[in-house]
Amino acid sequence: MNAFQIIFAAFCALQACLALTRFRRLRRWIDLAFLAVWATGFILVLIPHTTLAAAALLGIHRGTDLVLYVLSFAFLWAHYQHYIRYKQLEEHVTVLVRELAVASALRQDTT
Amino acid sequence: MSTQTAPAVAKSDRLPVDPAEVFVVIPAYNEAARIGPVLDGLLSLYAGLNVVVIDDGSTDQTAQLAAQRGAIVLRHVINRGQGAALQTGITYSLLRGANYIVTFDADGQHNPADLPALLEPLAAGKCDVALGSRFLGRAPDLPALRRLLLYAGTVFTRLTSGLKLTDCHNGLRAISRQAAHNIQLRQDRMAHASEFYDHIRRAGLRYLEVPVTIKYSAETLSKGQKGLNALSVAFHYLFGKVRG
Repeated sequence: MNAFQIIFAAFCALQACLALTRFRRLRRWIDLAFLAVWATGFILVLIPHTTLAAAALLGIHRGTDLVLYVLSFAFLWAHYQHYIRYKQLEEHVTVLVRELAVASALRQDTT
Repeated sequence: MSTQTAPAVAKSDRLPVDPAEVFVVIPAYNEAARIGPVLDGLLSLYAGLNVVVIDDGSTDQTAQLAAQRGAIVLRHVINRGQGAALQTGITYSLLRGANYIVTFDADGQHNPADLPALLEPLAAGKCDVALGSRFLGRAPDLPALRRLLLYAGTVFTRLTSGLKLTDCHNGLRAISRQAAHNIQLRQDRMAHASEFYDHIRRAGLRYLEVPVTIKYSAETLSKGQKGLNALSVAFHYLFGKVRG
């Protein structure tokens, strides 16, 4: 086992524990997903051949290709989720700005 | 829902309805150089008209100039885009009891003399929404490339909205009070124009296209939509549809 494996495995284990503690409170789906991600990272970094076996199971030649595909997909999904959140936030800002504008104008109308 | 082209109505300076019932909503962002003549044109033609300028976070004197000219000025504390400003104007107009709402551009492209033709089919109960069409009317000095872009946009709009239109993204339109209640624009920026057509279809509103004149100048063209922006508008509109 090399230094990278030790550091990364420890990091994954720590993150998995944090996700587990959050899991008790709220956002169960997200925390469960993060728990799975960190647990997978922990296993893959300690037993690198696992990726090869998983890749072969899916008909992919190399384990690194499988990791690359999964990461690409995860990146796009995360980007999409953030964009949706961003648009929701934009809508909320607009509603606030509109409320201010209309309320101020109506106040002036009555004075 | 039905569509047809309104018969050419003789341009008149008199409105077919009481001007006090009409609210003209004008979104404006940094339009100090152009908004004065626009407001003068409207208010000199139609006494008693309610002109609502939504200053969309301008950094120039747009709000002050509009107020000096006698417009009702609503101010967005930060810039939110034309769609957001229009919805603010529509919301305010409904709260003030508007029976007819006209949307009008601040840059001088629209002709105040088109108001009677837009309001006439609404007043006669022929439709709920009157949409201005530059291709049924006139668009002098419209550059060929912009014309091509608008034709492509119209085809896109017909496909996505299902409305039989001859023009798209024309900001000159009139809506009845009942119709305005069905229109809640969520697209803050330019994609609101496409979203507007979706509201018409979803609510089953009756619409007509009315010939109008759109004036182009080097100034308005430089501030207006660029060709590549159309792709961005289409993306935001389609994304909004997917998101629901």
